[in-house]
Amino acid sequence: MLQAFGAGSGQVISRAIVRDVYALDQAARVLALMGTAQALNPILAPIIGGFLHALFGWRSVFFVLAGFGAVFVLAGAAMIPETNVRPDVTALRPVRFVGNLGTVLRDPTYLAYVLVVTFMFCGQFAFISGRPSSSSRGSGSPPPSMASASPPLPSAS
Amino acid sequence: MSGSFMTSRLTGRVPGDRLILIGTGLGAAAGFSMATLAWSGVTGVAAVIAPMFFFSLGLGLANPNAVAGAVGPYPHMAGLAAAGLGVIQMTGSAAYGITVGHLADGTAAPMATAIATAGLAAFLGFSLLRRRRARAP
Repeated sequence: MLQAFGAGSGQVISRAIVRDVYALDQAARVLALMGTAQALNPILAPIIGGFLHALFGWRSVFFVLAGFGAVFVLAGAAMIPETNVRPDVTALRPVRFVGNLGTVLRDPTYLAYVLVVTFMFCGQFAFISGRPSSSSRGSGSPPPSMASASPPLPSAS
Repeated sequence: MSGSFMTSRLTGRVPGDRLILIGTGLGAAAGFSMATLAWSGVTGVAAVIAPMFFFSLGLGLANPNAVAGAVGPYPHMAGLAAAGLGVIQMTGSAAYGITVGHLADGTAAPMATAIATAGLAAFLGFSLLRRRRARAP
């Protein structure tokens, strides 16, 4: 669960940083590049994980993850300056926070874009959760470990 | 993946909103192709994977532009806008995926129907909200 806090904040903060640094059309380009990289995750991760598991046992996966985490913390601290040029110290006061949240949630433009991201992702998740049973039944030759080898949810932005 | 790569090439030349319409439209069409195949009893991996390739292509075209569009207008609260987007995206699609998992009946039909519905909802929802916004001053 602690890991999920980190994983969730990474996506939110990287999107906000892209927004801070790039103009609108450039932002889409950068986000698309990030999406391309993320789309490699579900392909590479099980392969790397499988090798680690076979060579060093399952515990090694967590050591490697911890190593990646440490590298990212150092790289982030060293290479990314603060991009928020208008820090708002009152933004976390409950009243203001709820007010800001209300502002974005009442904005039909924001909702239209959120709806696109959400529903397209719903389709992707439907595939991920529907795939093990349907593809193994359909092909007639059930891959034995399909369900357990299902990659962790890919996060194509 | 190829979709998001195409997006990184196309952005700047094609307006983001048009890429979103193309992407979601492609997603809806791919979903309906998959559902039609599944309901008419066509089995096999290709009948699922081929449409899914085009759905993912659509996702790669639509989503980076939609994220940019959602967070873009809020320079003073980019974090909040990105967080709101992330929460809705993740809870929504997790719930959707769980529901599809429970509906699984051994055929591809429930999943394909769910993918078609999601693509259509993205396409229609965006078209409608976009028109409403265009009318508003």
